[in-house]
Amino acid sequence: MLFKRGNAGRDRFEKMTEQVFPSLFGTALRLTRDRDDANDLVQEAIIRAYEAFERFDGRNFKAWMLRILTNLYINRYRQRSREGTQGSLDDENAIEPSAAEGTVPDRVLFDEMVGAEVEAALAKVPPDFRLAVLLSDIEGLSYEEIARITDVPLGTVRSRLARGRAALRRELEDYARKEGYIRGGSE
Amino acid sequence: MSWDKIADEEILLAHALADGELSGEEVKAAERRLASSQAVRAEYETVTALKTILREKAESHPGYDAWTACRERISAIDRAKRTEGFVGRYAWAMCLVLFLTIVGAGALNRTGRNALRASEMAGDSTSLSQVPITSADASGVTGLLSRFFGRSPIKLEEAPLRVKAMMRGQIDGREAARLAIEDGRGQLSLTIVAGVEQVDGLENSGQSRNYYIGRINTFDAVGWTDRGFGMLLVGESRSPDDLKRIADLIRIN
Repeated sequence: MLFKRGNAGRDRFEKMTEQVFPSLFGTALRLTRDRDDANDLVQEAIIRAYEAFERFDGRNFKAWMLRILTNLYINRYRQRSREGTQGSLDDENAIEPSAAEGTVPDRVLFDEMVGAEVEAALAKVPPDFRLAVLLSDIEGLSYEEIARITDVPLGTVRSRLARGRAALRRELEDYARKEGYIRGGSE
Repeated sequence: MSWDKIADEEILLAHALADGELSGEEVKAAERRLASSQAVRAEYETVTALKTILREKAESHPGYDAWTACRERISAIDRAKRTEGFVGRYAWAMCLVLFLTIVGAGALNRTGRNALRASEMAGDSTSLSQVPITSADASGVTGLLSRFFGRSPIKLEEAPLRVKAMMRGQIDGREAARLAIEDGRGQLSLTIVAGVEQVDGLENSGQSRNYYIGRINTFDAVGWTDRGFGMLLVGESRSPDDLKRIADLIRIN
């Protein structure tokens, strides 16, 4: 039997999962960029987590769940997507700074943005970098937790975060120029 | 202060500072670098602004429908696990109970109620031996049956039947006799077995004169029991009603 003491374990699992579900679903959506795929991904992740709940060490439940979800995403969806490992190939190059001399000031840029525009810009960031940014800046996880979830060294997490943020800023600035929030040059 | 070229390590330093990933001493060193480098400070401020915009403007995705679907799947898993667990734990016990029930029911059916299958009554003739009779002598036949069984389970005097042959022996370990009978319409076979209280394999008619009715191979058959004897009347091209009419004539009760 899955839980030895009637439904107590299940109740506990459901309660903990319900609290982190928006993070799980949001991450799944931002990874897959498709609502149906996100539904499938998050359901499958939760089922796997439920079946493995007795092995949860009791520390960070959200990080544990996100690790399961991320592994599932990497094993299933990345194999059949056209994204491949584009982000990883860029790991070897020099890191581009997020702020460069002469770019649009952050205040000017970010004040104009709404949520949907930020999400659209984030969706254009290469997947490995996007995942690092999601886990750090939206889910609030530490470098160490991100390294465990994505199964890469700490140095790679730092590199991907920096590259992801630089890519995000570029996308935001490109969008702002296209939408006319800012004119061609910096202000 | 000029905008100097920023090295990878300094970029990562600025990000780590913004992410709260530096120790006390590392923070002090980073802050000193921010104070001396416009580029590093700008990097730090941009990272901080990006983190803020993501935190404040990233859309919320509660996913209520998806959560409901997840809960339903968890319930389905629990139900399946409970069934598997029960069956897995008790499978052998259930098989054993089922086996013992079948064996016990069969034994009870045979020994408790002295039942015999109609097909056995009709088919098992190898253990029967011919008994010489005078076919026209109905009372002679019932006298023989009385001698064999202690009393005759049938009466032939009133029936328009001729006994063509008689065999005697054992069926299923019980005393048995078989009569080859003839009436104006054809031949019939009557099997009598002692110690039988139920004829199996035929359908109980549920009538006051309790007959078991059915078919054995391609022949219609009628069976009945009477005070510890099982009787089976079989005829070729004879309807159950016809067989019952004949049985009514020869049975004692």
